[in-house]
Amino acid sequence: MPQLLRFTVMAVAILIGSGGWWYYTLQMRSAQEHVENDLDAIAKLKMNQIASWRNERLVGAINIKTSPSLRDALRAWHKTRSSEGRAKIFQRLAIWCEDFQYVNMMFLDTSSSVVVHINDQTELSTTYLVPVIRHALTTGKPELSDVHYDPIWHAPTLDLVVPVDARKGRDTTFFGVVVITLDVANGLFPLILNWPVESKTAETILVHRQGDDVEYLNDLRHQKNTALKLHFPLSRMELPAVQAVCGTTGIVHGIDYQGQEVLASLQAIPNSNWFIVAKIDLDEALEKTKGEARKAFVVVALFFLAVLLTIWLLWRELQSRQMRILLNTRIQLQESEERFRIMFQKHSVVMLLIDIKSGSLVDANEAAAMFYGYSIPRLRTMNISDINTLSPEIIRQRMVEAGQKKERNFTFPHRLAGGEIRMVDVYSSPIRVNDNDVLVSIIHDVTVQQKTEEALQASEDLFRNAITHSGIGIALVGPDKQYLRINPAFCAMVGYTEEEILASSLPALTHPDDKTADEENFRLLLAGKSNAVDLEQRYIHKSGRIIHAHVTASLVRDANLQPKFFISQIQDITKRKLAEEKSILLLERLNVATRAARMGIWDWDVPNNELLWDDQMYALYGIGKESFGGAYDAWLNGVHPDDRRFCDEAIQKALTGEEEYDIEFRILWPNGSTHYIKADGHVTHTAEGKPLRMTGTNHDITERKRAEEETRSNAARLKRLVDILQHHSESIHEFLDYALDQAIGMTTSKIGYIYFYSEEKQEFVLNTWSNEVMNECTLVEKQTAYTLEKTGLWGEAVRQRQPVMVNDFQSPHPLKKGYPEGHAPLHRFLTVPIFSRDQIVAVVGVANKETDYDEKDILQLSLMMKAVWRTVDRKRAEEALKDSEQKYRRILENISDIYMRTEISGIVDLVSPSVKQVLGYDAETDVLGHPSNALWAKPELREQLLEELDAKGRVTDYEITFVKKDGTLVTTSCNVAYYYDEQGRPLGVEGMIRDISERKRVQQQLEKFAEELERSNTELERFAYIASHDLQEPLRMVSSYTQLLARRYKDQLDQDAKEFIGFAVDGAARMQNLIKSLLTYSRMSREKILFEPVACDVVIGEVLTNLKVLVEETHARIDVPPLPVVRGHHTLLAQLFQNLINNALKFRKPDVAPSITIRCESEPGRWLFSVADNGIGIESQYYDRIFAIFQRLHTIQEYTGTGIGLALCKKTVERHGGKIWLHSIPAEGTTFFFSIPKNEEGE
Amino acid sequence: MNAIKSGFPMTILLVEDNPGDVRLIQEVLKDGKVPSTLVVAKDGVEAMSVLRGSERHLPDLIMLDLNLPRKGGLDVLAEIKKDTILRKIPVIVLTTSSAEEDIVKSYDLYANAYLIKPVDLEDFVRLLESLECFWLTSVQYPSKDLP
Repeated sequence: MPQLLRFTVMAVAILIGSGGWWYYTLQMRSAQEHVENDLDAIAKLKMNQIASWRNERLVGAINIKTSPSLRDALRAWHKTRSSEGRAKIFQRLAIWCEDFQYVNMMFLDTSSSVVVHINDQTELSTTYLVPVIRHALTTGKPELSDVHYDPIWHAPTLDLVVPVDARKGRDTTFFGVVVITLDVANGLFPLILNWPVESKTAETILVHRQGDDVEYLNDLRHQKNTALKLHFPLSRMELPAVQAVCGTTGIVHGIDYQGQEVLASLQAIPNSNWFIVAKIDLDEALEKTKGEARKAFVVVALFFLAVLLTIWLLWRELQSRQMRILLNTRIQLQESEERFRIMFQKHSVVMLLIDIKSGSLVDANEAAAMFYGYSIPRLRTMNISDINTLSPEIIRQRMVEAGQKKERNFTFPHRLAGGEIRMVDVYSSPIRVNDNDVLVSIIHDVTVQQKTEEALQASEDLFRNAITHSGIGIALVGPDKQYLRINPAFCAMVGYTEEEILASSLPALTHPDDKTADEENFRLLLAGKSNAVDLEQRYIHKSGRIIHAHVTASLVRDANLQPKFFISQIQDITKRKLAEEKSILLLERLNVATRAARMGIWDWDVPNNELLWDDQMYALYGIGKESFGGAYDAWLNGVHPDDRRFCDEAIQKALTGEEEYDIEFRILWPNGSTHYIKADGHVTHTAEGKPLRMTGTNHDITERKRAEEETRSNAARLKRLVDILQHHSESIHEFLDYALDQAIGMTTSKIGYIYFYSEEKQEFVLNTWSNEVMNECTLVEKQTAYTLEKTGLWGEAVRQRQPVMVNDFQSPHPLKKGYPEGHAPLHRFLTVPIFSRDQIVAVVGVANKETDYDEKDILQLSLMMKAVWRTVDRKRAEEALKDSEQKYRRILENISDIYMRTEISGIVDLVSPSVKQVLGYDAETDVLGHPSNALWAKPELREQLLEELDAKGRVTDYEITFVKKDGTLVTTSCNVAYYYDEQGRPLGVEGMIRDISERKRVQQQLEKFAEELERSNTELERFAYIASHDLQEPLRMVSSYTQLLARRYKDQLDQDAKEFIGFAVDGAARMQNLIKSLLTYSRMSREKILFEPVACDVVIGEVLTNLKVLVEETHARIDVPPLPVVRGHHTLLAQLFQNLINNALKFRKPDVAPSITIRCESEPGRWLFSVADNGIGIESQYYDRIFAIFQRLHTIQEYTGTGIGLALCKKTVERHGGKIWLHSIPAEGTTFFFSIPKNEEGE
Repeated sequence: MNAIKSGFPMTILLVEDNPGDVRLIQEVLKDGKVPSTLVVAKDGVEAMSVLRGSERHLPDLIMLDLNLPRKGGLDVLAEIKKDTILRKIPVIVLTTSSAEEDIVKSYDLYANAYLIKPVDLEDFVRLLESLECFWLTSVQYPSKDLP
């Protein structure tokens, strides 16, 4: 570790140490000051307490001094000195002693002899008191003695000496003193002993001087039984107590009675010889600070050690890393040396190290040993001149040149061990090894290279001669398209001299039209996509004519595969080319001709069976060249199977010369389509008459054939269609039967069917099966309706929405579901969907044609059925029309109203027979053909009706009065409208006439009733008013005057009279109640009620408030759930609830508190309320009666009331559009139910 | 001016066709605490002639029945309330009718109060006493001397 670091660590350690010490002393001093302050404060506090305790005692003594009763007793004693006097004093003192719990009390005369003593003790000594008593008698003031040990009390005590005098005027003659012995252990010492804060060692000591000693007055904290017993001589100045009695005050250091080092505060108690010492052990005072200092020291020391450790570890780490680096460098150096040594020795290049001065070989590598044939140790002993065959002077000279770096590359002849001399290239460069200049020479054998160059030269000559003397043109062209070399043949071909050509470039000679192809070939070769190209190219001769040439070109690349030059061989093919062009032209013309005629030409080499076709032939047979076998059979295979035999026969006949070959036949294309061919041919024979070749043409005549056939089919179909349409049929069913027969006939099928099909239901319903099917089919139960999903193959016509044709029905087919056992056997099958307005309305199926069905059948069947269906549609429309007509006629004949139709002129052209019942007229004779208004009571009103009709389009509920045949009038209500033809032109007017005379009569009657009701209501109102006023007037008179009578003639009336008057008054009052109720009831029936949303919760709240008194009186329990908002009248609903609840309370069982439960259920369209009680109940036979007005079930005496409450309830509920009812069990309770509609308007 | 303070008895015009009621009211008022003079008109016409007769003898209070011969109570009320002088006199409708329409009409015609005659005598006495107490003692009227 470096010196500096060590020094720094030490300096830091010293700094921390001294700083810590300085801080520690500072802290200690501050702690000590703190403790000193505390001690001082405590000492002063104690001092004050003790001083005030003393004062209190002295002041208290005045009471004794001035006590009159004591004085009296004293005076009595003083005069007589009798025992009674003493007894009086004793009595007095005993009371005080008892009251204040003094230890003792005495009275001493002026001579200090005991006169009275409370605790009478013979051995009492008062000598110690004498000086105090004397002093007290001199001053006349109470005096406190010092603390002394009381032998009687066995405790430290203190005496209070109180001088007592006669106090007569100015006479202050003292009788003596009263001495009170005080117990300091209980009175004074507690003041001393307690310590205001918690401390282990702190204590307060009270001391005084006793001769040359210091005496401890109180019991000590750490040493018991010391009061007035522990003394120390004043010479022990280290004691704080000694210092105190010597007059020192304030803070002192010292050793206390236990020998502990203490801090103490000293104070003198004023007016006494006492001193207070408050002390604490120095250890305790500084304990906390010392403890903290210790902790701080440990922490700082640990921290310092940790820092030291860290620095040491870092230092070690640094050192070891440096060591590692040094080691690595050395290893790397060794490895590098090894590498270079191996490189030199093992390298395949021959290397020699040559001393420049001597020319001796310093070292050689293995390659050198191998090359020269000497071992390495041998070579190390040799000189360069032993190897180099040049003269030693030249060698030295060369070495000097190399050493001076003038020359590096040399070519020397070197001799090998075997004597052979090799030409070598030497590369030498000087280096300096161990202060010696050495040449490093790298030797390269160049003998083989020189030989190769010579061989190349010979090859070059051969090549040049070959080109020059070649018969065809040869040209070498550079990648830049410049001619490099050409031979005389090429020059002759294009007519230019060699110089002229070399000066030009390739494109100049090439025909402009071939330049692009030429460029392309160049590109191909350059890209390496092809090794050689073979092409025909045109050149332009110097004379301007075009030369056709066949060119073979290839690219020559150098060793690096870079393009070197193109070599082209050019052959003049101009003559051949011209001949070719002529023949192509001819062939093209022939092609045009045959294609136009859709004619193919064929040529058959009969003996070799080679058949040649031109392009057109392939087109005719719909096959490619590659799929044609090129023999007779290959052709015959293409022929329709049905026509093969016939074709073969025709060819054989032609070959034998029996017949000219000119036939028509069908061929089958691979895609299955059939084509018609007309063929002819000519046979050439050998001299012997054997057929040699046959040449001919084929011609497609399909179009023509098709046209012919279609014409024929159409004609047949149309004929059958005419048949069908002319066929008279009663029904669509029969008509379709016939059409099916025709369809079967037309397609030369055997059997067939027609199913109706409904797209909506996806269902087939059979119209008919052909008779043939019926005969063949042996199914017991023939199903006539199918759903689409259950159909097999025959349903495909619907699923695919197109005709379906199957010509090999017996072979497996993926769509076939099979037909049931007994079904007519099928071989060939064709089904066609029939469309009407894009909807499939039916399917027709035919089957078992002798030959296959084909497109033609589909077309013909489709067309025929389409035509048939148009007829079906028309027939259906006719039938529907007929149906509708019948329907309307039946209606017309059966209606009770009159239907009448007129032409525009107003003449009736149609009328229902009901005219007879309503008006009495005969339709045929009286109405038809007459003007419609002829029957009207006022015919002139027709104009008005027509005007209205024109304005509105139709007239409804128009009243017309008719004159019946018997002359009476009938009021009718008519609905009238124009009716139109298909073009929208009005044809006339039609109308329904209804007899409303009865309705009219009823209506009038209703109006009369309403009027009467109105009048009745008005009268009722009048009655109500009268009732409310006039009816009550006399009632009041009766009541009032009866009462007046009773009042005025109270004394004259006897008991009976008073009772009678009571009945009269009561009767009148009830009468008035009845009238009022009646009024309310009738008003409710009459008056309009305005409905609005009413919150039932609020209503019930109000009701319960109204009934509060009654509820409380009866102690009723009323259970009200949350209630809905209903549409109604607030006051009426309140009245309703009040009546019901009131009833429930009123009709309670005696001695049972009523319990009322209100409920509301939401039901569809209404609210269902219920009010249930536990009252007396109602017998079921009274259920209806209770709702009637003034009906009562109880006497007035039992239950009061007018008997209108429930009647009002009923009325209220009914006015709200609801119902009220009840359910009750006698003696158990009653539940009233009522409903209020939810959304209706009530009334 | 208050009736009691003025020292003069209050004058009440009673318009009532039923002699029984007249007598009853007289009897009750006689027993009442407030000295008052009761002038009776048997129908509307008579009532109007009393009111129109002499301004010096205008009543302090009018008790009006509605159902009256010749001229109905409501007509009388309407006429009184149209008259700028008479309208100052409080009109108390005292009737047997408890019909809502009568109550509404009366107040529409500015009746000062609408009272229904009770059937029970005790109630009737109480009603008149309270009427006396309020209208004859508590209510302050405009001075008659300074019209």
